[in-house]
Amino acid sequence: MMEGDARCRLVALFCYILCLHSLAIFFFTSGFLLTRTELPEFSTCSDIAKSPCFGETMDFSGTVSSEKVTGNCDDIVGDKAFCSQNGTIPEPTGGGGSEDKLSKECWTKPAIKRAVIIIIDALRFDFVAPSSSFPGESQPWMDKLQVLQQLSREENCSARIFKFVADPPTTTLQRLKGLTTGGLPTFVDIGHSFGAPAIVEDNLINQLVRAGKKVRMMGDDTWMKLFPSHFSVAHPFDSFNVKDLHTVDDGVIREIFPALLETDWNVLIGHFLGVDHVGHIFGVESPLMVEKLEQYNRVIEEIVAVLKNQSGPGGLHEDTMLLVLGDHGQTLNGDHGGGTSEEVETALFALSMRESPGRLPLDLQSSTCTISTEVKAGRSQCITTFPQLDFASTMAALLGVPFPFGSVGRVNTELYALAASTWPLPSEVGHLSEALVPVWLERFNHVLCMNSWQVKRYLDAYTASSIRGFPSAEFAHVQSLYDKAQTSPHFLHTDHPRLKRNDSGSDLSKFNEYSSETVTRLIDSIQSNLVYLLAAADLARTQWTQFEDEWMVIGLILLVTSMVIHGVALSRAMRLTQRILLSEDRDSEVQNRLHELFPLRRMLLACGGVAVTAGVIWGLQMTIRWLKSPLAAAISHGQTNIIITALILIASVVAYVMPIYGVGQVQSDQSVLGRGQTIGTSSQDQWTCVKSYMAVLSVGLHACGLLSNSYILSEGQVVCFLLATSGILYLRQAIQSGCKVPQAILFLILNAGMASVGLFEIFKDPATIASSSLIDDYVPASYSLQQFVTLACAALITTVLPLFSLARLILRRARTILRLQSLYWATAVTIPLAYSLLVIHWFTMDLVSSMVVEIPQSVKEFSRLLCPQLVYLVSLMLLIFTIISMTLNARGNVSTSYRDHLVEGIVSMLAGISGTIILLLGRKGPTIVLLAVLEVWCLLDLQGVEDLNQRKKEADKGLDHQDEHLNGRSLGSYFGAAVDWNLVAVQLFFCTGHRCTFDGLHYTAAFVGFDEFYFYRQGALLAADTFGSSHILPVIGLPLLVTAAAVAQSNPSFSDGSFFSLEVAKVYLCYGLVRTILTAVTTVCVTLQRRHLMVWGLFAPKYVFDALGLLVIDGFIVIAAIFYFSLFSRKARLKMQ
Amino acid sequence: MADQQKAEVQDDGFLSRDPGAIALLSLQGLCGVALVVGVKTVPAYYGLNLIAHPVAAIRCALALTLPTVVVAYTLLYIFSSRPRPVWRCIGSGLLSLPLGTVVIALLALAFGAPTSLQYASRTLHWAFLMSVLVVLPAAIVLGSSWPDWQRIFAFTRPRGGLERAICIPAHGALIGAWVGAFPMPLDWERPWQEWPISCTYGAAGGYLVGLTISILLQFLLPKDVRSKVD
Repeated sequence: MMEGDARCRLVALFCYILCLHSLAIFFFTSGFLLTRTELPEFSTCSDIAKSPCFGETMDFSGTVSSEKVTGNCDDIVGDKAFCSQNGTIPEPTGGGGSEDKLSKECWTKPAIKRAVIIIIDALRFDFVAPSSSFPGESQPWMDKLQVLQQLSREENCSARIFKFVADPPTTTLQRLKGLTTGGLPTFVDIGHSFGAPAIVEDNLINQLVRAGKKVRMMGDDTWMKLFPSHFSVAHPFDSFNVKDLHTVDDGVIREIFPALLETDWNVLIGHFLGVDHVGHIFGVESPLMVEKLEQYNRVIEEIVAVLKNQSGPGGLHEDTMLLVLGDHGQTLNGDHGGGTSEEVETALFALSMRESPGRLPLDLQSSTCTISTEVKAGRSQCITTFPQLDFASTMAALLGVPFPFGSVGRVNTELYALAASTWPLPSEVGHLSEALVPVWLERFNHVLCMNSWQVKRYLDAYTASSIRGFPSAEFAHVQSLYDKAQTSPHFLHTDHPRLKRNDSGSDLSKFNEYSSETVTRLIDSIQSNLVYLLAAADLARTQWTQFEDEWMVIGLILLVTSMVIHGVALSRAMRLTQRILLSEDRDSEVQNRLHELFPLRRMLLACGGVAVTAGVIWGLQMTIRWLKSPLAAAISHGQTNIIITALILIASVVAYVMPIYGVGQVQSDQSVLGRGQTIGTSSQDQWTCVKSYMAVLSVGLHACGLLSNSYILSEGQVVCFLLATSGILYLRQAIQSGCKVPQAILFLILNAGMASVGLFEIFKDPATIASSSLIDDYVPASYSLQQFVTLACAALITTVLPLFSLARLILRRARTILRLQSLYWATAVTIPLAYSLLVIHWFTMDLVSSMVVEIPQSVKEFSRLLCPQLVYLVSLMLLIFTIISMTLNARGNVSTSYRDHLVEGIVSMLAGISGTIILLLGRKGPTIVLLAVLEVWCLLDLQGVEDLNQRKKEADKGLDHQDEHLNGRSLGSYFGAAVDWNLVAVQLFFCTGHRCTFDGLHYTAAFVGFDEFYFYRQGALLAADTFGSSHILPVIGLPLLVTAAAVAQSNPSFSDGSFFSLEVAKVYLCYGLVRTILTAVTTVCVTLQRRHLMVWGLFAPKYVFDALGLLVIDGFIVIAAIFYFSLFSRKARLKMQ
Repeated sequence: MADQQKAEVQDDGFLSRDPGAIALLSLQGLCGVALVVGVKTVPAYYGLNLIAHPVAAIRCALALTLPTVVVAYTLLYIFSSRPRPVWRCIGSGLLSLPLGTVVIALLALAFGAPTSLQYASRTLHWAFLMSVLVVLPAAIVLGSSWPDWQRIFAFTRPRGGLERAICIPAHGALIGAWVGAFPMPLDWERPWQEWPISCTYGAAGGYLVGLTISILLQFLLPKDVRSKVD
């Protein structure tokens, strides 16, 4: 009964820790990984009637009579037709025409009829901008897109280069989302990259489709994920395969030229991927990059030529705009995702087919000029900064569709001025060139007015509907800016007609009214609108790229308190062990202590108390509203649940940590403790101290390393270094005792081997071979015979040899370890079967790729798909069979000790999983697994040395031999072992080729054995590949540390089930503690470095990996604890019978 | 263990003549000076430095340190009147060098030193220097007596001033090299972060600290404790 109780409490403890960790990570993540509520509203044409930009007149705009339109035309549609009113200027189209326009156009008048948008993925700014604008020498990749530079230089009025600045995260999917919605996609969206992330928000493409415009797309298939049904014609090409440099580009080039001559589209999108892929594989400095850029140069030249051919008056491309832009930049190594200037800065080139007649006033021009380059012919070329945020609004304004609902960008002055149709026709202004600018300014002011109104509407709607609104002070400030901006147009609109009415003698005098004073006023109005929009964008940026510090702090506190829980639980378990060992009357003595292991009732009471108190306070506050303090306001602001949850959790932690028992108990407790401690200290070896200090030091070094980006990058080497240090200590200790020296030396060698195996790339990943499109690129059409023989030998050495020896090792050990006949035979049959299936799978793939022998299709398909599936099946069956037979068949031979029983279970489970893990790890799998198995064996074998030494030493000191076994292994030695175990696990993570980045995930592993994509199945395979070898296997195998120690100690207590489960729990607690410390340090580091340049590129992924890993480990600890403890209880019951 | 204790009792007769503190100071000081001059001054004289020309600089250091260490520890050995002839001491010391070099180079590889061939020469040179600092003194004084080696390097229990003079600087050099590896992964992009430069500096620093400690101990510890120090 008591034993069962102990086990239940232990499992409950692990569940509690899991729960604590998940909540801590939830809190921290929701504060750190920014989330944004996506609003489902859409902008519609009629919306704009609600804006103040049209004054009161817009109320009847839908049904206006011709007269009313003319009367208020200047007010209503200042930028639309700019119909000259009062009948002074003859209207070519007449009232009917203007009404027609009103119904057809909404928001803005289309300034361009068609747009060709060429997106070059990962286009660095210095690919486009002239090299003279960069300090230092001209790099080989600069000035390769000559055509853009030439156009912008020669046709200064109709072509421009902008510095296009993206917001992090700079991944293609996020950027496309940002470009089309005009919003700021947050980091959380990265999680959707694996699934189907269709945009649910309002966006540019959606608005175009609603307005009846046709959008054509060719290139990267990410567009299809985002807009599954929007395009009239789409030619998506697979972007999954980074190693493929040309398929996408060739496809786009093939499709784009015919499309340019067709008439059935309004927006044409071509997305080139080559530069991104070259960067990823070869880096920016490679000659392939120059080649790619030169290829693009030719393509763009041809596109421009085609467009220019058709750009005459009445031509197909008369009102076409060509835009060449990058979605994000890249570093010199080809990485992107973070917020460094290299990754964020990309370029936008715009070419209008018709030269715009006017020039911007210098006030508006100079304020935006960021880089002035090369003064040529007295004219300085100015490159201005264009935030990507503004792209959606600007394009919507140019194409004449409503701005996307969630856009927070502003219409870019320069790009809007670039389109010729935004300027009044010369006929409209009576050939008065000085009137051009004021008219344009008024139109632009009107557009900005609508833009401000739309942004304000979005901010209001967002504040109303999302859980976390904007901070109130900043929001109020931005609102005041809006009010200020809105007063000026009213001033204009009320003032301007009056001026006009006074002097409406002739058209000439009317235009003369655009005096310098009016122009200044217009410019002021534009500036104040721009200021508002800028402030709004900044507010949005702080909201969606800034962190919720309180939540992060709550998460951190919970994580740290969980470390305290670990520590307290460990010390209680240690005391309980001593108590069990010391007391004769175990059952009654231990009962009290057992409660302390997981005092469920006390914790429930505390939690309940806090919950009730909080509930009462909240209820009072709700009913009476007598708490008017800001605190209460903050609490009532939709965060009640969270605060109460956090309070309850903290109360439970406090209840767990605070011992509440009577004085007598404390005294007896102390006396026993004293006894235990004297024995503990007496038997504590000097070496154990060194080892445990070293363990603490090693965890400390590892943890400190996580604070620096360099150590995170080279964590694999750091871990290897620490393991080698640990190996030296083992060696030293083995030399002291004079035995097991070979094991220690082997451990060091294997450590070096594990570290270097990650460096060699002998074979391509099987999955890349499997996708047949790659073969042309990467494998020469046929091997010569000699090459083939070399490859075959290499394959034999790296694949067959390790697999064979692994199978032999398992089977030989299985004969002695697996006492259950059925289990032994199951293992003996399945392991060779699974491994031979692996060999068949890989060799057929090799033969297919080398093309020496023609393989029949059926065989190919069998080995490509069926073999892996069979391996999965076999692994799963062996696993299930082990669990069933372990829990049921224990009664076969009661005589086996707990230890043997446990080892039996662990070994057969690990053997079962090994097939799947090796398959997922790829060609390096067999070697790595063999090395890891040997390394772990050395580690386990060396655990015994310590106890040997201890016993020897005690014998020297003449201590009573009887007392020695009374003490379990000391806390320090458990901790040391757990630290080494963790180091091996982390080393496995890195040497199997994983990295703590999202593009380091082995997506290919998800498709081993399957062609179709199912989210859960492929996700599970990916998780098994990522966490399998480094998180799940170590947790399953961890009790081996206890059994290894049990061998050495030959301790009679180990036959006691309760004692044994306590030992297992201690090991799990130690391991969990080490992982929690590391994760907590990562979290602290992420908190400290949240303004670091590399936060999105390095720290955040590291945090996500660590946090997920911690949860995986906690979860599997719970499962493994339930399984292992049930083994003990079964045995105990059998024994009692 | 009991055997060792007995041996200690027997040894006491020999150990009563510890090398004097002054002799230790002068001879060990000589080793330290030789190392500093060898690593820093001599290469600088020839226009070399450790960062730009690691191999050449380590060669200079070796050329100076190796004879100094041999002479110093042989003299120390003679002062403490151990029963082996001098030529055997020097012989075993020189024999131990290649062996120590190989072992230390392998250890460096186990700790993650670069395995590529272009680093092989640097690794070997560094290992040779380490072996001069760590293995050579022990080989000169201890010869091939396995229990002594075990006691000093596995148990870290030197007996007497002479063994302390071997043990502490050797451990200092090893720990210094270990610590010296810490800055290597940092992205400061300084030339001294290259293998094995920072480790050489660390080892030299640790060695000097070890020398200082062993000399100080010789001065500070009372005579009677010296022979019993664990």
